[in-house]
Amino acid sequence: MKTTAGIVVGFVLSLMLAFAMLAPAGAQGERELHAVNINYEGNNVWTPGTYVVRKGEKVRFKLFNRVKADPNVHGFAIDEFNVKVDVYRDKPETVEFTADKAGIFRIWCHLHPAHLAGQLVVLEK
Amino acid sequence: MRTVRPRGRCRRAVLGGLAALLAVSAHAGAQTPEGRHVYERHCAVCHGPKGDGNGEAAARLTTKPADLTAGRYKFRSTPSGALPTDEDLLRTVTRGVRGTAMVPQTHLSQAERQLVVGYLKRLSPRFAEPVPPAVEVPPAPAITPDLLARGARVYRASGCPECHGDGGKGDGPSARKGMKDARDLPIVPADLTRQPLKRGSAPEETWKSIALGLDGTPMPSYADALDPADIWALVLFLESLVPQERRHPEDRLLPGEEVLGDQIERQHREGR
Ligand SMILES: [Cu+2]
Repeated sequence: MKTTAGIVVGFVLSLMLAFAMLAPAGAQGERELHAVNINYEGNNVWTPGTYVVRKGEKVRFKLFNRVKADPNVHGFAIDEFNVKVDVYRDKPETVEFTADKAGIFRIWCHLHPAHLAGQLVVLEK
Repeated sequence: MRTVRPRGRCRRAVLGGLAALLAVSAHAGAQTPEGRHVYERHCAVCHGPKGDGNGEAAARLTTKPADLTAGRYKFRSTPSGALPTDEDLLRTVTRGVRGTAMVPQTHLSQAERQLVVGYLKRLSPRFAEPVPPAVEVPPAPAITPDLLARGARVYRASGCPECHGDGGKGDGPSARKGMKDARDLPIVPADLTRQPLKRGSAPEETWKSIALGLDGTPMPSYADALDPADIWALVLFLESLVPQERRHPEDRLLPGEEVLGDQIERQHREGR
């Protein structure tokens, strides 16, 4: 049972990861990404954990909180781009910013800093 | 497995307890109509005849009455997501939820309150699930400047200021954006610089709120993120933020929703 759930979660995660990695830039210099907050074996985490964009791109994150357990809200924050969104359960949010600097930036839950962090990788070009 | 043989006084106490337990459960079984009667007379005006929180007075209240059919309780001594114990329910019925219209139900006898607790558990199918044992609150440490400094660090590092604000007044950035509970109703983070809090003024109760979370609200459980001693440091740091003039006695109704709740319950009781 647990194994099946693990396989399903793993499959969904790899799909999402593939989607995030391969997501083509829409209009020139724009990139849309999806982040889903889930609880994986007791850990709250935005998934996929790593996103890759190019410097100068306008990034649009669609955010989904799918954690069934309380609390009913989790945070999505990237300090370097002034991103800080409270995402309520089953209330998708969208946030946009321009990735105007290259580097590896932490994505974290500002409401519950103990939750697992991910990262945004901004390539120089 | 080892059999424990109670002896002497201890054995009498166990047998006495057992007899009382049997009496209580037999009583609860036989007297459920009475539990319902108490509920209808004292609770339904706000919580509604079915317990869904849509009683006739609900529209007048800022803090909406709990939906008792969801089986999701804020004030538990059990882990997040679990059902409350009977003692938890009895405590909330007896002492109320401070600052709201859910006033202490001390006009009911202890027996009536126990009956109504039995009835509350029939309002949600969740109560078919087992209730885990209460989490034990460790004894409070001595207050020292070091402990308070540690509490202040834990407060910042745990993200508390996002909702409760830098000074604990409930005015953090998320609060200013407007927050929602699991029913999509507006909810404000507690102002931690005044007492009583919803759960009262006892530090042990604040310890439980932080460790176990308030289910159905944005307030999470920190049981996995913080160790029990850090939670105590945090609780005692929060205590240090409450000035004397903002410590209100627990045994008097607060102006506003508590007085309104008292009026509603009284009128309803006398009008029936
Ligand atoms: Cu979170």
